Amino acid sequence: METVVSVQWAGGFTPVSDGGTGRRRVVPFNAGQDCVTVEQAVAIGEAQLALLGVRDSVQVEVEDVDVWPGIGDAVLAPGFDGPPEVQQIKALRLDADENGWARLVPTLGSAAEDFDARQALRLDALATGQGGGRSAGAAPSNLITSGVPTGTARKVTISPWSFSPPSVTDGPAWPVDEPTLVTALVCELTAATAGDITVEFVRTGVTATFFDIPEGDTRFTVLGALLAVPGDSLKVNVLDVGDNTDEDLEGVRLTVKPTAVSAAMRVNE
Amino acid sequence: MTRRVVVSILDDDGTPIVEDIDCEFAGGTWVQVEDTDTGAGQVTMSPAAEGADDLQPDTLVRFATQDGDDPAEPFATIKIREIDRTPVATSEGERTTVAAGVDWFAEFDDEVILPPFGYDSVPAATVIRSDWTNPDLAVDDWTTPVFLGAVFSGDLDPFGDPTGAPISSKDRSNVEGAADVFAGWIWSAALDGDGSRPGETSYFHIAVDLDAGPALWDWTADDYGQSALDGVVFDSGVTPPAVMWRDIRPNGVRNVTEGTHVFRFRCENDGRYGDPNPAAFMCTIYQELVSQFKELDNVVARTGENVASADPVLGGTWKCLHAPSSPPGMTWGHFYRRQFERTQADGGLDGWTLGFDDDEDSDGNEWPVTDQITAIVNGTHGAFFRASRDRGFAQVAARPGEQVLDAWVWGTRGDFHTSPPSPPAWDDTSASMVSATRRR
Repeated sequence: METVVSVQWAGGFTPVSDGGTGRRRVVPFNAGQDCVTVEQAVAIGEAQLALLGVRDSVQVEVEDVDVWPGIGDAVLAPGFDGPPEVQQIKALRLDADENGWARLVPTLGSAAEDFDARQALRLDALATGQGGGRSAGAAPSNLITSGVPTGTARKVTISPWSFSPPSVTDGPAWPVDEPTLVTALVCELTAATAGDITVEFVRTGVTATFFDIPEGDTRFTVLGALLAVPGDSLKVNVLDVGDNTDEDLEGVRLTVKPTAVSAAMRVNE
Repeated sequence: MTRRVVVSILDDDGTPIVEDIDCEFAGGTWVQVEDTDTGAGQVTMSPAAEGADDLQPDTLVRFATQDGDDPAEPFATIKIREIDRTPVATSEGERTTVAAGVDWFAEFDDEVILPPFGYDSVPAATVIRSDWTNPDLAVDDWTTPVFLGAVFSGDLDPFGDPTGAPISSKDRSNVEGAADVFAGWIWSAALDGDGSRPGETSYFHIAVDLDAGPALWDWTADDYGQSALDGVVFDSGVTPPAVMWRDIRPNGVRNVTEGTHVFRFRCENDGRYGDPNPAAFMCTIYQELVSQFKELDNVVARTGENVASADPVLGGTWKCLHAPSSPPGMTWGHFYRRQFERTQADGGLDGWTLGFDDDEDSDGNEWPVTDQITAIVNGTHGAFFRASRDRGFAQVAARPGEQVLDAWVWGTRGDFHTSPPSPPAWDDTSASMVSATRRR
């Protein structure tokens, strides 16, 4: 009799034989996606082969004994072939004979069966990728039904305001059509200037903030948390160009780029 | 020495009704018992026997052995499930009351595993794991994280003050979709001189008191992270080659229950990249305190500069577990104790106690720590025990004469696993019959 474990692994299928002869018994075993080489598949197959031999279990009826055993205890009892073997108590049954005397009938398992059970657990852990508390992580599952969908947060695109050359000017209004949080204004100048430039950020006609772009800076970022809702309008004005002359600013472009995100929290409604 | 079998009948809360009935023929009344391998038991009584009329479904029947006048030693207690009566029969011996039941361990089949925060809590995990997501996971020895730098880079903050410095090894790009300009990057250890961390996995925890209503958390991690609230995994992020940290990932619950909620994050730094390779995590938690929008006044917690603060809005109260050699987990004893306590707090399993603790099983064997235990919420405690046995975590049994649940590290019940040098020997002088089965 030849026993073959047909191991399915991540890359294919591999047979592992016990080397027997005669009729063949093929036992399928799925080692799962964590088994990624033929060598691993063979090792798993050989381990599985160790579970496939003949196994004995013994039931012993004892009228009474000095020490009543418990489940899991070891006892020395006759095996299938007769000679006594150390065996494990797998189950205990108590009943009484017709005179009320206690009768104990334990079911015993051999050491091989205990080994089998442990081996089977190890193989199961291997096949399912669950190896003794070292999981790669939790499964990607959102296990409630009312959760907000996951993904990346949506940014809101607002056209930048451009002033070329920078002069005391009102920029065009940008109509807001969804709840928006403006988190930053990135001011970029194509050339450094000789004086500060004062910029105002306006929401629906009301100044939200104003600041100076220091002379010499070509990039200046102001962080914010300005909420705008549908119906609002946003615009950037240049309030002052400071000590800069028209000649200083000739050929210079100021671009104010807002960074904004969707402000809505209740995205699942 | 020869033992007799005696039977006691107890009501469903364990109060004795009739005690120590001897199992024998006695003037036409008799009791026969059988406690089987499978934890099922059966008692057959003459209708005239004392206690026969007391047998009802859910009545407890305790089998014990008694040696002479010694106190009876409980062998098993069964909970009656079914009673058959034969009140009329031509033969007196055929008039019987047969009560069949199962080991009173079955009371654990009458109670279900509750969600981590009990009934009516939202969000509610449908599966409780012994891993990093578990709100019961001990975080006492987790440490205060290290602030690495601001998420936003800029020159002035919304108050006109200079902004905090960003992580030097990150470029100037803000995180797409980030709304909280005061959020900061944290990690479980400082970056090295190159602004890098090796490949490592760290865990972050914060417990936050939330009002009833929507809760939303914006977060991301470099290179990869997962988020969980109250044991529910909400987001498993994206792994390289996708770039996770450049985008905010908004997670949320429409209506959380009022009370303390546990946020957990598992973050990985991929060590395959060259310097600089920073590891970082950020999060801002919002509720609708003043509006329905992600305004600063709606922030209830954030990662930020003040990691030592007692105020979560300032970036405090976060804890972290730095790059453990194995993932955080729980012992089976600890994991089950929490399920047991929740059920008892809800009024179930009255009178039961545990014969083991968080660290050791009922025989004093040390429980291993694992992140692999799972319990199905609304599944029965009994089903959890069976799954625990099948998966090799624990073996469980009710103590025969006390309402005590014993549990053992799988494979360690009894003395077989310690290989006693001289186990009791049964031969033809003590065994009346031996039956052996060989199978392939």
